[in-house]
Amino acid sequence: MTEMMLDIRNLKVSIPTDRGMLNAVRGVDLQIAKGETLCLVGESGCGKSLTATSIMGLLPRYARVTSDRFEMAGQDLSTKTDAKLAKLRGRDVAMIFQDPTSALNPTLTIGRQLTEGVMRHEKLSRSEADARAIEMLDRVGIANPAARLTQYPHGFSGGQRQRIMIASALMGRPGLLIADEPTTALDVTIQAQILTLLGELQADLGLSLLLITHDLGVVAAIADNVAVMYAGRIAERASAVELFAAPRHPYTKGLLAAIPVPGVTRRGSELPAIPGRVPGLIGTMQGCAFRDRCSIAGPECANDPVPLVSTGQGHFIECVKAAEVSV
Amino acid sequence: MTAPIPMIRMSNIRKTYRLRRGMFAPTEELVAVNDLSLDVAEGETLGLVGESGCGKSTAVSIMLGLLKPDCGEVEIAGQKIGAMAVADRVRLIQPVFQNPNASLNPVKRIQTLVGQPLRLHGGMNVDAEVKRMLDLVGLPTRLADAYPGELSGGQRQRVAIARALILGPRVLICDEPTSALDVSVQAQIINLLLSLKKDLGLTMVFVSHNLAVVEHLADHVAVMYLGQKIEEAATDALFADACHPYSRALLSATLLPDPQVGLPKQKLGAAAADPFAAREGCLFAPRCPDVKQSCFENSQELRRLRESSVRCERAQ
Ligand SMILES: Nc1ncnc2c1ncn2[C@@H]1O[C@H](COP(=O)(O)OP(=O)(O)OP(=O)(O)O)[C@@H](O)[C@H]1O
Ligand SMILES: Nc1ncnc2c1ncn2[C@@H]1O[C@H](COP(=O)(O)OP(=O)(O)OP(=O)(O)O)[C@@H](O)[C@H]1O
Ligand code: SF4
Ligand code: SF4
Ligand SMILES: [Mg+2]
Ligand SMILES: [Mg+2]
Repeated sequence: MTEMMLDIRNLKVSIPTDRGMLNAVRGVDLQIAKGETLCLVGESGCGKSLTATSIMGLLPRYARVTSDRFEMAGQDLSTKTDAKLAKLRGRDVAMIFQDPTSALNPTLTIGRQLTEGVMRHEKLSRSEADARAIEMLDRVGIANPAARLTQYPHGFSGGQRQRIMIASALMGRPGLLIADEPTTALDVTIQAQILTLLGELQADLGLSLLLITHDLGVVAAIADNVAVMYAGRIAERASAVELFAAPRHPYTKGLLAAIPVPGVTRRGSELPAIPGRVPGLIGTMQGCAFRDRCSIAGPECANDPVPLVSTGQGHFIECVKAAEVSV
Repeated sequence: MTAPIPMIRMSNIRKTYRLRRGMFAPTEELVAVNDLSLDVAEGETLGLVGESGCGKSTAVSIMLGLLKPDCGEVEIAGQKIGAMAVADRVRLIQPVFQNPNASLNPVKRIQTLVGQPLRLHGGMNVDAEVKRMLDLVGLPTRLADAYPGELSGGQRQRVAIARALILGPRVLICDEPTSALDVSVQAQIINLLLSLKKDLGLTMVFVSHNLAVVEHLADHVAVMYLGQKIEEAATDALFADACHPYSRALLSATLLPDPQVGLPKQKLGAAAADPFAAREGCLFAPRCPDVKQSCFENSQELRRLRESSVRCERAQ
């Protein structure tokens, strides 16, 4: 059996708001094997970043989190106390955040920012920590890393800063790297470099990667498996090859149809967008959350629970009509 | 017959920023835009692409009259933008930015937000105009009383577009209007921009890292690198037969939604462009796969090659 890096069952994240409880993550199962790349895609606001931050244990205090299982590298994290959790996470999982401007502190040198965590968590000395920082900067392709430690972030380009972010995330030698939209702000040549780098690191270090993105081109290029999220739940999960060749969930099909492809989509033609918008996440929901926007919805779609259909080879679809949705 | 006046004309724009690279470092000059000239004909859409930090946002801020160039001239519909009164300028040219959340005040209702430019500039029938705009961008009238937080990302971007259109501008400048949006919402906004172009004859500039979207929307594409325009061509020509090595690198690095294709093999040297590096010879030379010694010595000028205007002596 493949060894699991992350195994989460029925993760729920709720945030109290002045209009009621916002149930943003509503029962997510997520498994990532050692060395696997899982891409998480889905509409803005569907709960991708909250899912990621809850794995990091970095949710705001007022958020309520529950799960039936929360295992990292075989260890049950749901029973650990806060301090132990922080230590485990420092070792096992690291994250590159969505907002690149907030990620590096402009008033601290690169060296300080890279070494702070490991000096605290692993009690490394200054010179040991510096040596590790130089190794990691070199790893991510920053030239002359020793000299770079004393520089401030604004001396680096967007692509270099993103590399530094990755180096910083690798400092604790994590088994799982979570990257939230790591290339959205970069041009495509730098994007290709960063993705290639992530692939190499993965091969060399046996990293598991959870990558969140809107860009289905990125997904196609690097994902082993894909989870499509809608309104706080996983609507479909499959291998990348299977998902692009034979999507089954109506929402996944809608997403794939909406991308313009040069040379295929006629220039200036109307793109098939999914009509409507995501439902509000305040309070409880009955039946399939995609119902209002789904072209094949029927009365049975209002029933709970929406069945999880499996077609084998790890392909799961949460849709009552999945069996009849044409391939 | 004389050629019609272009709707947007930028001539020889240069913009530098002065900054320090470290707390105690000396002040240095960063050239953000260098000798940039662009013409956009009425009703056309120009796609503006290039490396992160190559000066696209600086260029469009100058186009909008929000930023003063060090030298060079911007004319919109034949009038110099620097000499125009603000009230005239905002009726002619309007921006739509990447992040609709940052540009919309969260405590104001949609009605107020969309009507604000008109109220500010003494327009009549504000309520009726707001309703007409919401209609135009495909937002249900009932959302007029909502706050931005109650809208989806796509709806918020529609609000930003409605607000940009209420003064009846002839030019819309979109700086990465869809990059924070998922692909289905992106498709909605692209469809909206296409219909505005068709129905209102809007002239547009569209800045994006997403070349597939640019290909879908633009009539012409200009490619920038380190502040310079390095290639410009009709969209068909550029996508079929890009001349500049950097344009080619961009096109070949575009990822398709097909897992069989995988990642492109990188042929570019050096990690990224350095805006502080010496400015002699071809600026792309440190990364160029086709570089020869002469490229470091000769500064490159734009020249005609097939259907492109290209800044590379070796392209053929
Ligand atoms: N700290 C918070 N307080 C209140 N609501 C929040 C908070 N963080 C997230 N939310 C809400 O929870 C929902 C899920 O947010 P999340 O950031 O996980 O979305 P996402 O899928 O990452 O979206 P995007 O693609 O736009 O980044 C959204 O409706 C969001 O507004
Ligand atoms: N206010 C400023 N002060 C100093 N430097 C600046 C300022 N604004 C931009 N720059 C620099 O000018 C150059 C051009 O920046 P600009 O924002 O125009 O690039 P861009 O092409 O829009 O990039 P992106 O694709 O990342 O949005 C960059 O090197 C940037 O760091
Ligand atoms: S369960 Fe019904 S509404 Fe939901 S996706 Fe399937 S067919 Fe559509
Ligand atoms: S001039 Fe030389 S270095 Fe510059 S793009 Fe052309 S071939 Fe490359
Ligand atoms: Mg997010
Ligand atoms: Mg920009």
